[in-house]
Amino acid sequence: MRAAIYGVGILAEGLTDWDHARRVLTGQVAYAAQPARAAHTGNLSGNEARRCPVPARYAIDAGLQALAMSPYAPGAVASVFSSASGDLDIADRNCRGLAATPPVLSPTLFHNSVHNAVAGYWGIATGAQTGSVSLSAFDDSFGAGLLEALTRVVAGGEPTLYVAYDVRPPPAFASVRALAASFAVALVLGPAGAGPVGTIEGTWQPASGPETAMDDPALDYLRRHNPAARSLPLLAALARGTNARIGLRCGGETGLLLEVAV
Amino acid sequence: MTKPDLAIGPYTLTSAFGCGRQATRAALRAGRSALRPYESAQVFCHVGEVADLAQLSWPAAFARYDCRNNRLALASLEADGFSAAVAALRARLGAGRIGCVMGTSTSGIGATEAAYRALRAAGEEVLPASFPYRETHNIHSVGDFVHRWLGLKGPAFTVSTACSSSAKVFGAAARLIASGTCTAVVVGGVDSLCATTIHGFAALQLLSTRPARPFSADRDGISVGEAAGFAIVAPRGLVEDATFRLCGIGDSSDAYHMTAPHPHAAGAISAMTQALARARLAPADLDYIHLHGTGTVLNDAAEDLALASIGATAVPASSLKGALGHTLGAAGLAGVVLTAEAMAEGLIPATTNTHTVDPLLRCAIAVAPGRRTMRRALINAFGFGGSNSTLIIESIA
Repeated sequence: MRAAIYGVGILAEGLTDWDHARRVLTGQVAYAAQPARAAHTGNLSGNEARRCPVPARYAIDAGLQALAMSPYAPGAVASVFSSASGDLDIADRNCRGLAATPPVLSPTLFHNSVHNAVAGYWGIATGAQTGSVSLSAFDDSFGAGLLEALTRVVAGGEPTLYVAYDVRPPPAFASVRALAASFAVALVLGPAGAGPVGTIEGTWQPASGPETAMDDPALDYLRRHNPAARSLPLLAALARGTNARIGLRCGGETGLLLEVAV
Repeated sequence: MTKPDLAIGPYTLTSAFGCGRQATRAALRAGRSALRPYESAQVFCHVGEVADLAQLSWPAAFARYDCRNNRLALASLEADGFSAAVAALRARLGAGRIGCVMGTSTSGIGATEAAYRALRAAGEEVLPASFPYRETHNIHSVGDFVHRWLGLKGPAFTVSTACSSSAKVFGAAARLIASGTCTAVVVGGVDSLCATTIHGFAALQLLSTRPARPFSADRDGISVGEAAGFAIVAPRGLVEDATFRLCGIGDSSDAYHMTAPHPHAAGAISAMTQALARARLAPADLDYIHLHGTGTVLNDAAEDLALASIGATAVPASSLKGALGHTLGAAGLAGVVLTAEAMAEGLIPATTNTHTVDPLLRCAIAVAPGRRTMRRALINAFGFGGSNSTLIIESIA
């Protein structure tokens, strides 16, 4: 499955945006884990921006960066959102409230708890009324979402925004779900055309080989400790402008082999 | 890329109607409601509950996956010989050629709700390391469980777009097949009753105290239900037991509000228009519309507006959410199976509990069951976040 990449966006702890990430991934600047900057939330009204949960802030920021690089408007692309664990902060607050006597649950936290809340806020922030899927494949979510995005491009000819994100869980989940840092990445994929950042040829593999690692230990730690950061080897190839062959896992112990040409 | 002609089947459904197709068909024929009152100190409503899940014998090898949502999935997988049908297909195609795409809204969050109650009772703050978060609460818990239980080796992921989840799985399956990644895909929808949804809909004031009455003049909210359904999606001719074609798929976003539908029903209109265009059909070609029909004032009005906008007000339409409750992430799959069974029976099901249709609504709402030969039907599933999906199925004569 071949697709051109027309835009890249990133917001993570220690990676401010795609320009900054490029400098880190090409070795000009060392990666240093630090709190992420405030996210841009597009055209959300004051009320909506106030209600907008953290994962949606990350995803909207990364998605807007990627679209700004691309020839597409938000309303011209389908969207795929992947996240291994969604919003555990909201799950924590909801389950804490439901365990109380009497049980309490905020209506806003309830509707924000759906896995596709991010897609919902993305639509409100950008006006995009196109088709959209939100999914999870636990730690293989980046590859599984990329597979779904690639099938949209090749089977439907749809230019597609793909956003993968996972944010730090709250303390109550510390023993059962450890994520190193909050991380969101966005790619605009489309049929071959003029001026892409690179092209990828994705081939699904019945057995996942080893996942491609990062040479830099700090970046590889990040890659291994946030499912959305499994994107780092692909981002590194795009940043360095070098062709690469990248192994990802994409759900059910299967693999996605990417041939990246820049 | 040419799109393969896709067929659906075999399929199965477990809901408050009972386990499997026979119980489903019998309840459809009887036109009965399976809702029962649910009462707690804070909430009074009606729910569509699946009986006897706690008594199900749970396989020891899957001990960490044990939660109500996966129990519901297993009960459904073992009904109607569905697991055996997948095993036969696996033997023919190879496990690596069959994908697994599940849909759920809340997965097994009930396990975390219970764990938090235990934490509170013990005065603790942190979930113990032994808590099986990945295998219960996580969205992909059900996809992972079904993939392993069926012994599949194709790609596996779980779609979670609230109440459109298990309608969207058909689109993902169609793309996996069209791209050559999979030869066939097992799709499913599984959502179980939990405190989060019951208290959440109550907090949003969207829960009726009476059984839901979709499209009725006095409708005032939903009843929550639970269900698990599965189907094989494969190119036509590959699976002998396939009895329906998947001929139209539509997929859109409202981009308007997290819970309220678009005031002009833009997303619903777009999803239905896409599905009809892909099926190369006009509304007049449809024999039946299985409404999303939740029973809230705004949802039903928006769906009615959408159907009027595309000129589909003459097609008999009904909702079974007054019989089963709104099965949320399982509603898409349940809608497909209920529609397929109704078509096979030649029965237009009545909109359970609805006696007087809201005079402001224009759709041809069936308030009494009707007999009709049906070839093509449209199924709607809409969800929070403005997530819309429409499917059109056609019986293979």
